[in-house]
Amino acid sequence: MIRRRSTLTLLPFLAALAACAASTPAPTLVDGELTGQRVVSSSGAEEITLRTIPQPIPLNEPFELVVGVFDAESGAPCPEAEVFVRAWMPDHGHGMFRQPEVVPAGSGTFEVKGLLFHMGGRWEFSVDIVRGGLASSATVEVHL
Amino acid sequence: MRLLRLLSGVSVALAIAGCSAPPPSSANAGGASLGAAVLDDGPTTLTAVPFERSEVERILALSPLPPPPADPTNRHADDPRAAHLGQFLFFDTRFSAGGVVSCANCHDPNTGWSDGLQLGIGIDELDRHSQTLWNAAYNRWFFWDGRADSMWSQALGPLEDPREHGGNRTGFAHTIAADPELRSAYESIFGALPALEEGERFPAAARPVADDPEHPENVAWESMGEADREAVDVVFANMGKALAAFQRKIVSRHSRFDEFVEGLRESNPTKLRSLTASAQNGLKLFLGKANCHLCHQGPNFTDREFHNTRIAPLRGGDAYDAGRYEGIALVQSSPFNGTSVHSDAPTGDSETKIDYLIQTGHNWGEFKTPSLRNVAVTAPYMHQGQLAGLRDVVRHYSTFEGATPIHQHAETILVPLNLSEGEIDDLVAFLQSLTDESASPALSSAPASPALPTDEVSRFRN
Repeated sequence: MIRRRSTLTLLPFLAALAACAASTPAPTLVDGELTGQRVVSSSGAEEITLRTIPQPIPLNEPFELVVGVFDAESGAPCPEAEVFVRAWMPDHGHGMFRQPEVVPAGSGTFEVKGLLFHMGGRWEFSVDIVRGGLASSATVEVHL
Repeated sequence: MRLLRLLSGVSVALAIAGCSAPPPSSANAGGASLGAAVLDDGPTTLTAVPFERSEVERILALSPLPPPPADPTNRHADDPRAAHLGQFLFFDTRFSAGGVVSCANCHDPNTGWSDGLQLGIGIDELDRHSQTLWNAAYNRWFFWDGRADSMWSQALGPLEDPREHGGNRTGFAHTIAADPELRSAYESIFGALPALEEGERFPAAARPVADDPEHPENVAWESMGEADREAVDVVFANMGKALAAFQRKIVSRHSRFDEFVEGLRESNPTKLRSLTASAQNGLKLFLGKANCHLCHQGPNFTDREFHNTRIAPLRGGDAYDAGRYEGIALVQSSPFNGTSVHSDAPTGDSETKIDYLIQTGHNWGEFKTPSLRNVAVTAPYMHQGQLAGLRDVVRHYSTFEGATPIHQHAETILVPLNLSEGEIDDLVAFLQSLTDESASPALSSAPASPALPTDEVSRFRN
């Protein structure tokens, strides 16, 4: 028996989000390690934390990303948010060979499974958030 | 001061293990200790070419190559009885239409476990170059397009491809059953064969032929009961598992480059002379200006994934070969993939590997990054053998003359390196230092019998 998990088909939507995020603040640069870095989303409405398991990100081995979404004003977690994640190598013009799966884990945290960085260099995590009918995003650069 | 330098070296080692190389369990085992050559602050002095500390760190991450990773999808992968049977099957031409083709036709140990040809030739000519089997056991994906996710499932494809072996799975099962020695060797490892003597249940020639339902072998296959088809599929998968157990032994790990790296760790001038000055220059280019290490990373010199290198089709025209684009769909739908009933570990990592794959336009024309170990003995190169020698390969990346046009699906990092002739010589000298064929002699011919000699079986069980 062959098991297939459905993949997200959100490319047009994500493209629209990417356009909205054109004014995203300068990305955070991180050398191989995401240990809970906090980034303000493009709309300013959310604070997003990013942490990988394991740390630092292993080259060419599977890893997970844990995204936390918090209301920027109150600091309260946002479990109602929808979260989409993409990883990209801007210098190479390609991303991963995989479609990551975002799994809500409660208390405003989201586990991103199926990640694998097959090459060293500059990677870019784009985190898109839909919350209260509004979209925003954040970008974090990681260097392996 | 010495202590500070030592601690600094240790922290660098940790950083290397974490950031620049796979974890110790896979590719960088044994690479934790840094030698005195690394602890010196300036460039290395014992090498013919001075290497900066950052370069030494990268070099140490390239050796040693650990033994091949386990394959949980094949519980017989490291069973010497299965490997022995697999070696016998590998050289046996009975498993082909007309009895003229064996695996060794395209994977000849005398030509680097490839065939020296641009395109493989079984019963007929193929569309792609025969890949070497050297270090194939380290692969994540198999075939140029990665349409198999294990070595054992890869082995099944050529056996039934009409242009390769041209055989069929019920025919293979009958061949095993009809040879008392072969049958005994098979059943001692995998258990009893199905009741193949009942010819009405098990036709002489049957296999699924998805693209030709009227094919006589497909008609025969459809005439079989589901349980009987499944029983034949089990025999077929077991053939692949035996072949994989054998091919896992075709490993190259002790080249002159590895001795050079030992020399770096030990500050051993004799070992450091394992690489000529030209090869050391080539190594420096490999890690620096030429950026070869981006795709040819880690101790097996491959990222185990796929890239579009802009190499033009062998016989001209447009680049119609979809490569990885088709490979993704094929591996996900394969009845013998790692999540199938024939896998010995169908959940967990096998699911992760298959389920998260995504087919995008970017995959069009991508082909697997080959290992560079033993690359000097496996010419010609690229997925259609388009390039005759290593100089031609390096020159391709240096000029991209005659390359397919760059478009949004090509690697944008692939820009002409503009290497001098001397630099090309140096890179080739380094690639030649990755040769180690010492494993070949014992593996390069068929054993006298398909069964492992009794004394070796006892040793395995003890």
